[in-house]
Formats: sequence, structure tokens, C-alpha cells
Amino acid sequence: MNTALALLEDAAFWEAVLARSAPFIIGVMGALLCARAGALHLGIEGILALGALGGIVAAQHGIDPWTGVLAAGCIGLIAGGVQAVLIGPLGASQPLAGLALTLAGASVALAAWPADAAPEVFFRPLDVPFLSEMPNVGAALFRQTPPFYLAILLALILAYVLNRTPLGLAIRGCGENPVAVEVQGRSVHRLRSGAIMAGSAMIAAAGAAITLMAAQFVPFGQVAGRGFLCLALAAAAGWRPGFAFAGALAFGAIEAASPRLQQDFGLRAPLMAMVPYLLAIAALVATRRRLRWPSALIAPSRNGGAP
Amino acid sequence: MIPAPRNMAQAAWPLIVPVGVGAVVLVLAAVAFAALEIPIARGFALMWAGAFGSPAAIHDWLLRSGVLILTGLATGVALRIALYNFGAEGQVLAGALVAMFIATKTASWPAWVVFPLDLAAGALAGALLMLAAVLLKLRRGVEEAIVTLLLNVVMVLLVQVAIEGPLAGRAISAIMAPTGIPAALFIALAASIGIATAIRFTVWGFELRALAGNPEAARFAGIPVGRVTMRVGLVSGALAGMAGVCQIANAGGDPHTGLGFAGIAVATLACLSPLGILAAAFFVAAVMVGAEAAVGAGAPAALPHVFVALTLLASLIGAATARRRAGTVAKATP
Repeated sequence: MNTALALLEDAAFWEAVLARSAPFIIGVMGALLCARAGALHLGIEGILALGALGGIVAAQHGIDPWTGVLAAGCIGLIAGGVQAVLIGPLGASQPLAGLALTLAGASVALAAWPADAAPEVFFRPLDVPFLSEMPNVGAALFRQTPPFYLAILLALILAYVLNRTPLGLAIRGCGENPVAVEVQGRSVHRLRSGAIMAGSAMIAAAGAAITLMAAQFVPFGQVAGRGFLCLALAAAAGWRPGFAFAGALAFGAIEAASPRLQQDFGLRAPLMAMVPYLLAIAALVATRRRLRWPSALIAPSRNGGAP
Repeated sequence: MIPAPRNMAQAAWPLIVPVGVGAVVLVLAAVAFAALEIPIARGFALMWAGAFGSPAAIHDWLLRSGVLILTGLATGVALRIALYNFGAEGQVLAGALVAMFIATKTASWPAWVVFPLDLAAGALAGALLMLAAVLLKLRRGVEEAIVTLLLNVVMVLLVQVAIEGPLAGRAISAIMAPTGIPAALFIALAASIGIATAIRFTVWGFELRALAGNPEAARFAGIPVGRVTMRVGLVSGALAGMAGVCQIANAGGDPHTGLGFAGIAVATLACLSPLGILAAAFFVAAVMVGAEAAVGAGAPAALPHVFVALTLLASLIGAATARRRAGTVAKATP
């Protein structure tokens, strides 16, 4: 027990917490962007796996990590486009279409996952001059890999765009009252498709961040399930960027602490791996009735979403 | 609440659509073989041999068909009332886990005692797992689609814990002979006909159909929506649990992954019709078992899952095309 508490005073632990939460932050932001536009995107898991595949292929072939993230983003855009077409013009049910995408993405990623080999390139920590010299928090906050800063930036931009701009208002309108958006002369289908594609690109980038931030080989098992976790986290946060950010940090902390906790309490690895999923369900149950969800979530976008 | 998927069972569903979807899946399989640099003819020959090539292969195919009929029914019956049970995967594992534990205690018992015991316990385990998700939906408003998907991962990890822990070093052997027609198929056929009959001729089925047709109207007509949802959820979970039991009882070994998700593809391909699920399951099972044989010959291990995912995608697009041609697009929107 004492060693578990000693973890909290360890600067390296806090560094790991922030590093581990970066993919979660990017992922939950992507998930909540889709949901705020009225699309419950269950394809997240598959898209994250495909993005992670893009990342690990780039890492093992010595391609520049940023190119890897960009490639993953493009994969996400395309996959998001497929989802948008499935639920828009084709009128498939959102959960079924998303699940189809998840199964396709995850199985293709698993089939194409490369063999165990150390990555040739990966994101190295970026030292912010002077600030990283600060006592206590300096190293944790300012000696992180670039995806961490990207995550913070994305979260800030998304929160601003969603809550403070006309575009954000229109996107939220698609999730709350699509008819009203249609009456304004905007196309709900187009706005929603754009949100799904942008959100999917972010989710794929989150996958690439997982594989590109590690200095060693990442097995597929470390990626599988993360997409659903991001979705559940964003849902438990009521699809609000601020709460989702806090939740992502909490899950980063769990992930960073789990090897140590496992050791201290003698838990088996799969038992420890179960904890985030059970916590996600618990968080969802605790907040579901307290935070309002977009009222037109999952409403079809045809006819302006009118029933 | 998540609205119902387009009421697929009511939309025009000419037989050409599932047949076309099947053909598309085979074409996509050919593309996959080409991408894997396996000669296409050899790939299909491997698949054929894996599904129909020998009595053992046919047994595997029939067993898989039975299991997929059960998981397809589990998904299909729940989807009819827009209860998104995406947790068949976890419920299959719950049933399988129970069967494995029973197998370690009853090694010397005759199969005709153990199997019914297994079935009852496995059905109970699956139903309880689904009941948790349904109760969270009804009491707390939590979307069952998300909860069941999370529970799937939890169950996969739980099976891993059990195999590494209490079940370590114990080979679970099949309690049925690995030839002939597997018991799973008879159970699945009975379940399929039973569900089809129940939906058409019983109060349970009437309430289910009312809820599937128009939840608002059903509520106003005094149908206890919560209770009906719970009953359908229990049946759905129990069916998936039995599928897990059948898999272990007939094939032994560790639980197989992907059976629950394949059930979703089966249900969608069959347009949620209980009898259509019979036919769809035989097709998906052949593709899956055949692809597993191709895996043995050097294809990546995830190939069967890729084919199942392609089936689901193709069925969704096929259903959309059928609706569009039937002109029910706008009207059928829930």
C-alpha cells in the first residue's frame, strides 16, 4: 500500500500519466465531436485500430512520425466518410453501421499487424526551454512527446470551436435540433458528415499516437478496446470537452499506475486490464442522468432528421 | 433512447438481396486472397475443403452453423425491438466459461447428464449478463449498445483470467463425438423454430411485434414496455449463452472468439427474420470455417473475422439498396 502511495510523489509517474493520457484526450475529443453533431459513432474502435496500424507501419519503416500521424488521419477521414455515407444516403442504423466499421477496421488491423520488431522511429520528448527546468512539475508538463502538446491543442481548439463559434453552434444544432439547422438553410447531412470525418481523423490520430509514442514494439492487445474506452469516456462526460479531458487524464493515470498496482497487490495482468472498462461502465451509470445528452443523438440525418 | 433500426423485417426483402450480398462477399474474399498473394483458386479450394472437404470439416461447419444460428437469433430478436445487444460475444464467453467450469467437475459423468446441465447454466449466465445491461438501460437510461460492447472486453479478459488461473493446465475435452450432426444444430433449429413461432403466435411475440412496430403506440396500448424489453433481453442473452455452451461441449478447448460478432452479421444478412437466420448462418459459418482452414495454410489469423465484417458491411448496404428500390426510404425512418 505504501509503495502505491509513494507513486504519487514520483515525478516519472506524473510524466507517464500525461504521456499515457495523450491518446485518450485525442480519442475522446474525436468521439464527442461526432456525438455533438448527433452521431453515436461506434466505428471508433475500428478506426483507432487502423490509425494505430498506420502508426506502427510508419514506425517500423523509419518514416517520419508526423507523416505517420498524417497518414493515420487520412485513413480516419476515409473511414469517417464511409460511416457518413452508410448512415446518411444509405440510411443504415447508426449503431449497426458503426459496429460494421469497427469489426472491419479491427480485423483488418489485426490481420495486417506487423511482427514484433523494435520501431525505427518514434516521437522523442520535446524539451521546452527553461520551463522544463522548473522544479517538481517542469519535467512532467514540459518534457513530453509532441502528441501530448497536439492533444492539448486539439482539446482547446475543439472546446473553442464547439462552444464559441457559429460553426460550433451549427454542429451542436445538428445534435440538438436538426430541423432548426435545416430551417436556417444549412445541410444537416453535410455538417454531420464533416463532424464524423473530422472526429474519425482525430480518433485515427489517437491510434497512431499510441503506437508512435512508444519506444518499443506495441502489440495489438495494447490498442484493442481503447476505442470503446474513448467512446465510453466521452459518453460519461456527457460529451463535454472539459469533463472528457479530465476523464482522459484519469484513465491515463490508471494506465500509468497499473503495472505498479499489479505488482503491489499481486493482481494478474488481465484482471488489472479489466479495471478501466468496469470504471467506464460505472462512470457512465453515475453521470447518465446528471448530464444532458444531445437530444437528437442517433436521429437519422435524412429530411433534416425529422422523424 | 436509441431509435429502432429501420424496420428491416417490414421493408421489401426479395431473396435476391441476401443472395447478392453472399456473392459480393465471395468476390471480396477473392480480392482478399489476391491481396494476400494466395492464388484465388487455391484460396477457395482451401475454404471448400475446410467447410465441406471431409466428415470432420462438415461437422465443424454444422457446429459453427448451429452456434451462429443461436448468436444470430440472440442479436436478431433483440434488434427487432431496437435493443442493441452487441454483447452476444461476451454472453457466448459467459456460457462457455460456465461450461468449462462444469466440465472440470463432471469429467466422469455421462454426456446426456452434463450437456443439459451445461445448457441451463450457460443460458442463465448469458441471460444474467444481458440482464445487467437491460437493467442499466431501463433504470439509469444508459445506452445498452455501449455497455454491452464494454462488457465484451471484460468477458474476454475474464476468460483469460480463468484460463491462466483456476483452469490452468486443464484441457477441456469435448463431451460429444466429433462426427455426425452436432447437438448444437438440433438445439439451434429448435430455438429458431421456437422463436419464429413465439413471435407469431404468443402474447410474448405479439408484445414484441407491437414494440417493434411502434414503441409509442405500444406504450399507449398498455404494453409494459420495460417488462417486454427485459424478457426479450433475457431470451437474447440466454440464446447467446447456449451458443457458448454448444461450442465448448462439441469442440472442447478454449472458447472461440468472434462467434457473437458473427451473429450480428448473420442477423443483419437475414434481415432479422428468425427463419432467414437459419439460412444466413449456414452461409456465414461456411465462410468462417473455410477461412479458418485458409488460416491453417498461412493466411493471417484474423482472416475469418475480416470476412465476417465484410458480410456485415455488405448486408447493411444491401438492405439500404433494397429499401431504396422498394421506395420505403423516407417512410420507414423511425
